[in-house]
Amino acid sequence: MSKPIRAPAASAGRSNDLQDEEDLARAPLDRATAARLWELTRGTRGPLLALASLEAFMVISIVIRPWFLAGMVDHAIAGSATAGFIALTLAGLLATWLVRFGGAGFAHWLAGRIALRVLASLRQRLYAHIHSLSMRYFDATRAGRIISRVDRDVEALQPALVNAAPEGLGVLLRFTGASVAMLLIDPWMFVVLAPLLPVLLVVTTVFRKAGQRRWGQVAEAKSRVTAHLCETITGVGVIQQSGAEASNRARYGTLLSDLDRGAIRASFAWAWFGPFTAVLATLGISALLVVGGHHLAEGRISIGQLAQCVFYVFLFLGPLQEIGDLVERLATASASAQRIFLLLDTRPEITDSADAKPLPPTRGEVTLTGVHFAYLPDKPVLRGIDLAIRAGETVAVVGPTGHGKSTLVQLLTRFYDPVAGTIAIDGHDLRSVTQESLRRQVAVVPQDNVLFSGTIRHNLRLARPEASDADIDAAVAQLGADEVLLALPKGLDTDCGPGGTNLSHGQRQLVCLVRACLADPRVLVLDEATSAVDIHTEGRIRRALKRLVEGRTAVIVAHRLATIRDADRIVVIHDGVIAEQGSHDHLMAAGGRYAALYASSQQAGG
Amino acid sequence: MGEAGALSPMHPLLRLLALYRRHLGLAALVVIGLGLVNLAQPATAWLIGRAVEDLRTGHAVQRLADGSLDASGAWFWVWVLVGVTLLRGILQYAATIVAMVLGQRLLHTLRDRILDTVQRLDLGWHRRHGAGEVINRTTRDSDLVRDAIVGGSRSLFELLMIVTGTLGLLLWYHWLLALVPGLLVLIAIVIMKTQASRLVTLDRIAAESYDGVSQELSEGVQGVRVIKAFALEDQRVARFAGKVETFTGKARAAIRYTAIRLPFPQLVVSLGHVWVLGCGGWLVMRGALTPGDLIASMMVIQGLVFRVEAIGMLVRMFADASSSAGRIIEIFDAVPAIATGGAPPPAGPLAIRLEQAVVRVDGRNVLDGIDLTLAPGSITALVGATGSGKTTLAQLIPRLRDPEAGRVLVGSRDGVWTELSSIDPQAWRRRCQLAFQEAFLFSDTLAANLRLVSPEAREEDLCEALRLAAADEVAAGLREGMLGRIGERGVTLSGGQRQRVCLARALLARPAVLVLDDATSALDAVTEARVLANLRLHLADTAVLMVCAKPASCAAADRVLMLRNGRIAACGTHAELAARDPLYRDLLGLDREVAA
Repeated sequence: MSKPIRAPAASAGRSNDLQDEEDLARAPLDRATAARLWELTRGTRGPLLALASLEAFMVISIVIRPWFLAGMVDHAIAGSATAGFIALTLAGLLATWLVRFGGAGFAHWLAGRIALRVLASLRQRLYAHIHSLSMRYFDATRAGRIISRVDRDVEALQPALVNAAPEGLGVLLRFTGASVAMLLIDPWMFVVLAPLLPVLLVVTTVFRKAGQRRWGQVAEAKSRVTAHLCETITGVGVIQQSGAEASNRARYGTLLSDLDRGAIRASFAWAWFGPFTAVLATLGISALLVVGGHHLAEGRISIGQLAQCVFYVFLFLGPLQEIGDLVERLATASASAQRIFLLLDTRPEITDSADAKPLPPTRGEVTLTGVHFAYLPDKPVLRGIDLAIRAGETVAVVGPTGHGKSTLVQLLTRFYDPVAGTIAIDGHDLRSVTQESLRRQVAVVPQDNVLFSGTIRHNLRLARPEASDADIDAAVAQLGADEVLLALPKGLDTDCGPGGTNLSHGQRQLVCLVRACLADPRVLVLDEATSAVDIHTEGRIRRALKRLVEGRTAVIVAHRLATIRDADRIVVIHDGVIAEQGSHDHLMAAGGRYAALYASSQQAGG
Repeated sequence: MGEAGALSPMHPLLRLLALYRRHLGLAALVVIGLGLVNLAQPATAWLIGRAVEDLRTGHAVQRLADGSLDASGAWFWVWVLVGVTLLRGILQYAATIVAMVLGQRLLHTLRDRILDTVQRLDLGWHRRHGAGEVINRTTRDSDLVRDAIVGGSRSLFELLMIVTGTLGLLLWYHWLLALVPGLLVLIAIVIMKTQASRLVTLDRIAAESYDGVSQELSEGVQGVRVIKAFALEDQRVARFAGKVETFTGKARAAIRYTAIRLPFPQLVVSLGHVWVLGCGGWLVMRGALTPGDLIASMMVIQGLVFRVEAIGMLVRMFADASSSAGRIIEIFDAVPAIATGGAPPPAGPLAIRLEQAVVRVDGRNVLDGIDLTLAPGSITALVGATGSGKTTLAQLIPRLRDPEAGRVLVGSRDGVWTELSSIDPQAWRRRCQLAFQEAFLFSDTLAANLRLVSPEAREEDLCEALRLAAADEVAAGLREGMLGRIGERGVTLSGGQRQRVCLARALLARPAVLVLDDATSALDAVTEARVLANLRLHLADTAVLMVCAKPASCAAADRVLMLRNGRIAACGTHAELAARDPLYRDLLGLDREVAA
């Protein structure tokens, strides 16, 4: 399961986010995306068909239009245009415009609805997929990048998913209509125009190939720009404090220049397409003038019909420009599509095994056997941890920072799988039970104490949706967090702000802690859960927790040793192994690492 | 065309369009190039009309005496047409590329300005708006604005040229031909003007509900660990789905409006096409117009109607963009709460004095008259209950926020006190470092993260700073050492390691004033003691304010201040306070220790 992945930036100095994403998806970027894009339109195929039919119908109005002109020109020259004839012709012409714009409005409505539907469900699907991924993915991928997949990249798909097929069909039908009309009027006209077709096809193909690569590069450059911007916004405090505004801006400037260069280079490649189609159309008109001129002189066609054909040449070759636009948009969309599929193809590293069962209600006995773990293959973090935690026992994990304490507790909820060894609860290997059932019984309060926008109450209720206001008030009081949280201007109804930024660090920690306790877990894991709380409050919480953890298993990581001295057992982790363990008194008497740590924390006479 | 009339909702967009001013030369080049290209279109139609007329009258293809056909006249027109098209093509290619360069420069300026503004806005502003919203405004909104000011303004200009060229050619043929289409275009503009403002409103509503989607998305990704820890996936996914549905509903309303209303102005213009055929036919019958000219007229008016079809898209684009532009302008117009003072900070060791400093948040005095002095070379600890305003106080010193009342003063060695508000904040922050409670690292190399504060620092300086912060093992633990990537997508560091790297970053600046906002909370006691000892030894003249909670940290300080109800409630050494102040003993849990 937990294959060691390569270091996120092992590509020696040269950072390449796309490469990382590619590795993580373990699938190459080049793949046929059209079929998969088509797959996304499932559920809106009916409306899509309606849209295509509408386009087809509208083409009739276009192909018929030059016919009115021919009639008018011929009759006007002959002087045989009666008032009735003119009225009828104009009415017919007006009708074609009514069809055209009425249809266009309807098509716009239809296409818009389809697009919104498809994009909405794709966004929902991506978001759900992201939440199925394992922690390693988030460790290795910038948040900004993940966000832009769901945001900008989905947006960019719209032209390919919704407009491309009907527009392509419209182009094809217009082309066919014009061909048939010309064949009927004068087959030779069609014959001299036909050689332009292969030229058109070859050029469009070349154009598409060149475009795809270039637009992919531009999209990638853009993605970097966005990621940098997102990071700036997230770390704006540090930038201001460091006075790094100028250098940060300069770095952004470099990324922007890369983007500029890419976009301009791409435009060198596609900008000739418009003029090229114009030249092709002129060649068509020229051929028509020569052939038509001869046939006119021979009396085989009328001047009106010649004029009609001029318009058909534009209909015949006019789609060229549209094809160009279409291809350009498709190329942009396909770059986005590939990145989206790359994300969808990323399989969670940690999955429920096929025969995973829900974890039955446990007593909370946790057993670690020979657990090894490494974020990078050659940098072991845990090197053989054997630890048996009895049900209902409170175990404190202490040790210097960076020696594997947080990693150890994150393994308990399967944020990561051990590289070797097993972890079991009540004898059930964690890998044999469903993650959801595991996390319902094992609650971790992680170090990054993120809250969601909404009130404190709302955040607390996340852990137990059915909790009443009274339940929540009781939980806050029970944990001794009432002093701090109720002192807020609106108490528990205080708005936490985006990401919880309205509350102080310590206040947020308290909310997280209460949230975990509300979940009523069998095993409670606290990773520095009160590090930013004042000691008075921490003391209250410690006493409250002592009551709360009665009958539960608790694993507590803490630096303030005073807070864990009455744990049933203290485990000292040093350099990825258990250096010593036992009760406070036992370890103090042993005079080892713990005693030294404790002495230094107490030396101030606290 | 139609948009220019609807000035009031366009106003923010016009302000952004003013960016063109910086690139007037290029813009002029583009205008001339595209102007010629677009005028060449009616010109081509005119040529084709002349050619057809020559064919009709038999000038182009003449039957010679031997009965064969001489097509030299026709070939003449072929060469003229191909020549004109080639010239136009070259011009179009060049103009497109120049337009692209101009567009990219504009965007560069716009994006750069957004970043520059956003990173200078104060933390209070960022807190109020939230990262999701800011990211959204700076990406989605700026993309929409980009579409309008680069692609849209080009289309608008081209449309203008087409209208001018078309009406000009028609007028040249016969004033009757031009009269009605001209009036119809005017009517269409008036109709669109009334539609535009409603559309702007609808789009703004949709964009605002998209903010909800973004916020949810960004919280969902940032808070992924919590979501996993509580198995909240289903709940969050359902919530996100709800936000997406809300947005979809609002966007649908905007689409319905355009679908129903936009065809009207388009139909109005297409009446012009009908008019030209009818009136043209009549003129031909009366001999006032040649059939070739009628054909050319029909070509240009048809081109005009098709162009007008694109106006629909253009109106939408500008409507979208002007609501987005409004949101971006709001950022540009936001005034950083920290007004810039001009004076450089004094040199040498510095002292800090707060006099009756008051900070108000949501109408509540978080700090309610703080008086304190930090002397050079002293370490002052600041304690207080959770939520008592310690962080707020700490942020006053590097001027990340200003007090609502009272003063913050900087004292230099010669006894002169200067008001902090008169000092340039950027220069000041180089002398006064704050290490944040939440250690934030950029996804970059370790060295680059450190060099943020001092770009010219040598490798030895970096190592020294890491050593002082007891973080030397972080570099040792990275495969590429100083060049190892950390942060969001780099090697995972523990909370304590992150804190120490941030601490090292602050120390690298060799600040005269150092504020540690609970920046050692994740360090174990031994490490913390080592760092403080290093501070005393190597930054002997630095005035240090240390927000902390642990008795050991307080004991290591020269003096402890206790914050309570927005005021300094007690001041003294740890031993003094521990001996006489029960509140202090309670806050630090000293009694419990004794009892235990």
